[in-house]
Amino acid sequence: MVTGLKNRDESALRLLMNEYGDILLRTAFLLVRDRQAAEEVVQDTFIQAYRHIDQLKQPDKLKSWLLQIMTNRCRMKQRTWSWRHIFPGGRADDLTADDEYAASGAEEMVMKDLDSYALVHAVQQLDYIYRECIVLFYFQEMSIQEIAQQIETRENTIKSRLSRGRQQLRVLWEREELHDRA
Amino acid sequence: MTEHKAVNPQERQHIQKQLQSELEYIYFQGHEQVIRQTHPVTWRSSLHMIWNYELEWSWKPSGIITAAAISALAILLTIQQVNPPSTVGTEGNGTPEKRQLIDIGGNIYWQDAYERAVKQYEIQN
Repeated sequence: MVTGLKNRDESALRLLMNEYGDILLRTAFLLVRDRQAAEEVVQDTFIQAYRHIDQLKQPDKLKSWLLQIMTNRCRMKQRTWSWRHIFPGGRADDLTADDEYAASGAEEMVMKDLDSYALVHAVQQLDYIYRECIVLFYFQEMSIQEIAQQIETRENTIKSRLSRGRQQLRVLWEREELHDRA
Repeated sequence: MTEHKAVNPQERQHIQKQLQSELEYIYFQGHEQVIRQTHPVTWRSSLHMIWNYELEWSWKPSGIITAAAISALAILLTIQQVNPPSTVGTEGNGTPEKRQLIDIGGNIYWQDAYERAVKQYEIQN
């Protein structure tokens, strides 16, 4: 796949998106809390990966490389302002009327389902620095060392963020479950 | 940190499974949008690709340049305040000329201003 990407092969890019698209989108959704923003993050991740595939030195680290690009983009999304706020039509992904209808229908369906999902909501309410560690540790099943490398932070910092994040998560999760029952 | 060591592997697995089951209806659907950006086929897609091409802008150099400019301006203003152009003045016709200080009765005056004041006093009386 990596060789195909280096050769600018479209089918290799499609294969990459089929293999990692869903997991990246779900992770991004937990991090940025917005379905549309998460979709944009993942699209941009694939575009960046495709354009800079030569920077991937170890092909067996493809997934963690993609995750690193994605987490960086999520962080950027949290703090950057985009020209797209002024020129929203400036994307290549202008939707047709049918696309828009299908997307909004799918969105509605997903949000309706998510309304009863306590853990996702609880994770999304965490402060970003804790959310990031919790998502990578629990959802991506990464080790503390891997997370530290991924977000370029010391292992002890990750440990303390995980510890605090877990405490917050416990409280929020209970609250969400109580809310759902009510 | 001690709490982290006590992480229960079953708890970790439970949370992972719960998150996976809650998110299982979310699928990535942006394949075509990505392909349109990476492999544009129409001039419109190409235009959009250029429009959306990411430029990386580092704030560090621009911050340093701004700080240097502000410092230079501050130094320039300070120097001007310490050494005002006091020996150069303008007369009524707007041409710059040298002004002189004179000592009259222990007080210091600009010569031209003093002479003007004396002339005015003489006219009044």
